Amino acid sequence: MIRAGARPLSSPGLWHSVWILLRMRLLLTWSNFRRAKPYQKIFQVIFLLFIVAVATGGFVFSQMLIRYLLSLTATTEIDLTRLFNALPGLVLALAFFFNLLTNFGGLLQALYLSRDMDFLVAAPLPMRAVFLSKLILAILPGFGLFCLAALPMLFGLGSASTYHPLYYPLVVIVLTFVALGAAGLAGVLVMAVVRVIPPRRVAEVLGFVGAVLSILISQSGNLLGTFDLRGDRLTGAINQINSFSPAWSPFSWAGRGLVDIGSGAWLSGAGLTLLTILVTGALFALTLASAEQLYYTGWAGLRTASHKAKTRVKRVSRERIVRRGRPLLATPLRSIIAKDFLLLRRDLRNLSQLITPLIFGFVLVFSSLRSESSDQPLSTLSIQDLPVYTNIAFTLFVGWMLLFNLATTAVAREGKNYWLLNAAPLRPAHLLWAKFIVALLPTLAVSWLFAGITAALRSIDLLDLGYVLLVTGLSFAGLNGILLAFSVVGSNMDAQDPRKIGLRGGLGCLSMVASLVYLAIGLALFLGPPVLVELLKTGSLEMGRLIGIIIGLIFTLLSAVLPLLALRQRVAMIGQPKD
Amino acid sequence: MPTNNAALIEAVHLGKNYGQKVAVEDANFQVHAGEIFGFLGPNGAGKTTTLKMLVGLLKPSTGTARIAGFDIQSQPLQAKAVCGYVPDEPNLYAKLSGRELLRFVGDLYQLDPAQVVRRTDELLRLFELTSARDDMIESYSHGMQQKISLAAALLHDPSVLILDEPTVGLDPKSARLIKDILRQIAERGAAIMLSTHILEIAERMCDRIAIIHRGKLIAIGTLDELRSHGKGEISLEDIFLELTGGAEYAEISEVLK
Repeated sequence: MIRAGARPLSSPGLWHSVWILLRMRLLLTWSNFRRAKPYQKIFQVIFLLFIVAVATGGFVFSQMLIRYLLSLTATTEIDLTRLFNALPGLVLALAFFFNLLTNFGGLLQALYLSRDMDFLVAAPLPMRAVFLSKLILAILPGFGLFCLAALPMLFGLGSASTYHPLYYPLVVIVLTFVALGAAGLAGVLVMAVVRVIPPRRVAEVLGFVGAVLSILISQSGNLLGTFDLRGDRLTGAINQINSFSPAWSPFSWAGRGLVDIGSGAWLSGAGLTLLTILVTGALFALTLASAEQLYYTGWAGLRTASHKAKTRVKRVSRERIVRRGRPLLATPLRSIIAKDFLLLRRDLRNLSQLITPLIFGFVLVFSSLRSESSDQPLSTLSIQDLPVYTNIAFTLFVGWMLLFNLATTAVAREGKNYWLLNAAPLRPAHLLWAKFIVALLPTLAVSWLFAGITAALRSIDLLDLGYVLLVTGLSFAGLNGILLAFSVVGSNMDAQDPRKIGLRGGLGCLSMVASLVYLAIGLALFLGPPVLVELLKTGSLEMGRLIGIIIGLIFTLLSAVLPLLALRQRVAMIGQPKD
Repeated sequence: MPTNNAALIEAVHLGKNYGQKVAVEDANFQVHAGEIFGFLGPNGAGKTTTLKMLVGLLKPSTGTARIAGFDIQSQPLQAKAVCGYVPDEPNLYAKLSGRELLRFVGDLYQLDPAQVVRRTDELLRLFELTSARDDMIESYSHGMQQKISLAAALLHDPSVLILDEPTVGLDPKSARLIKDILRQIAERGAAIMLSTHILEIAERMCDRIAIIHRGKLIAIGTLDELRSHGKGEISLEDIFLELTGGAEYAEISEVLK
């Protein structure tokens, strides 16, 4: 018989509990590695070696570059010493804001959306330990990535400037404390935000904003123009970089502390470094202290309020979409289309897929217009129709990005809800055509809008625009058939997050290669005849275009229909485990 | 028991292997019109796998499954049109409202739009979901999701109903409601097959019971038939434990002493 209270439990300490939770994660990681297939183990080891090689390469490159630039200071008027002295401060500021932003999403997921919370809260562990272990696990990937870029640079600076050996461990310590302080602040922000907005909604908004921001940042180079390292421009750039690390900024003090330690100014170095460690450590400690109450009450509040935060939907929206296709399409087909469009629209994370090609399209138009306005010729070939072909190529690129996302995830988006379609008397053809239409229509809308705007900016006439729309529309139809075939064969039906769903194993890579090969062949078939007519000056351009359209039409229609016809039988196997 | 001779659910030498592992082996049984057939077994015995094969969600490795005389593999559209299914986990489109989900299911079964509207309103009222009909399913509790899942299965008035643990996560009132609904559906001539862990439900509701253990059907029949083949056990719980692991149960008792 079990006797209640026979063995009184002593409350485990904070750090012991944190260690228990972290050890569990370590064991899981080790277990996953042990159970992995041999090729996966080899891949993981190679990846690890690659990371080490990148870090070492980064260090050597930084060291050489800084030495070279410092030698310039001696021979030219450009003084880079100020820039290099400001570098640690800049990196620390970047570390703080990078960790603050990236950890917000990571902590939201780890603290409020992970499924182990019931288990952890029920266990006799201090709440602070649960918070701390989740925080450490959440910040590790981002912090590791940041260190991979930052440490080689800072170590390279130390080596090139022959800093004192104490500089190196202090760089790691200060960087860690800054990251912990940022993570702590991110944790408090997360805990505050979820008291007002449901965590799932926050995650959706964050996913959308994150995707848009990352694309904008990745394309900012194209928008700002090339980086010219000459004369006054370099001095201007240095001043601009230095302005990011003003003297009043605490990150400048922290950076100056490290530089002072490196160059032997012990008193100021030790003072500033210690101050940094104390301030960031206090910030982190404050977070930990508040976590006990904030985290538990916030989390418990969610459990009781989760069903109150209801989102009411407009009653007419789905019916309106279903009614629209009534005369043309079968009821199940219409219904799946209506359902898919509603789900795409209602989950903000899906919108990032739509925004990506739009931003890329904008950057493409901007870059091409800028290059045209400069003196550089677009091509040495004298092809009269070049603006039309450029428009086709750009439109295909913009549409490809969207279609690739929509078509390869068409089946996987059903996820674990697929049983509902599978248990219904639904013809495979209806499912496939519904998915075909759901992937194609937004692609045509976005890419044709792009083509129209580009045509207007380049003064392309309406007949030529019609040609662009016809060629791109047919190309997308064929591409859609091929990509949907991949979706039928290799969808991972377990993923829930729209940003993570996709194809299994190497099929994602294979589908990308197949789509690019298809586009290259399609372009050659559509544009080959008119380009040849122009180059060889044999016959009219219209005749060349007509021949291209006929050949391209056959190719694209076959590509659209044949893969789906061939895979109709495979629809019944979607989501089936292997025997 | 209002049964007649029409077998609406048939499993003939039904089997499923995952590699070397045998999940279900040579299952043979029939469920007739008007009958409630309980499917019992310990965790991992093969209950869900069997039900999924009957509905067409899993392809059998051996044998055939027929719904209303239609082979679920070779005539899936005809078989699925007369069958309703409630899975053990109600995975439903989280961003649809309850009403939208039911309309969507009605369209999948190609029901008349007016009939869909009428049935949707009826079922939402029956399951006390009217006030939540326009809320997104992601805001529903587990019990509400279970109920909307059952409503979706009943929307097209199926003559075969297959339910995997239908009362899990339901409050006593909702569980009672579902039991009453199932009995009424069976009385109207439908065949109902349900898996459950709650032996009291099986004992009170089911006309016949099958017990599956380690992928094999080890007993099938009415409660009286199961009692007559046993060693004098009275309750279904005793019969179940005797057939599926009485020794293990004894060990547990030892540990708890």
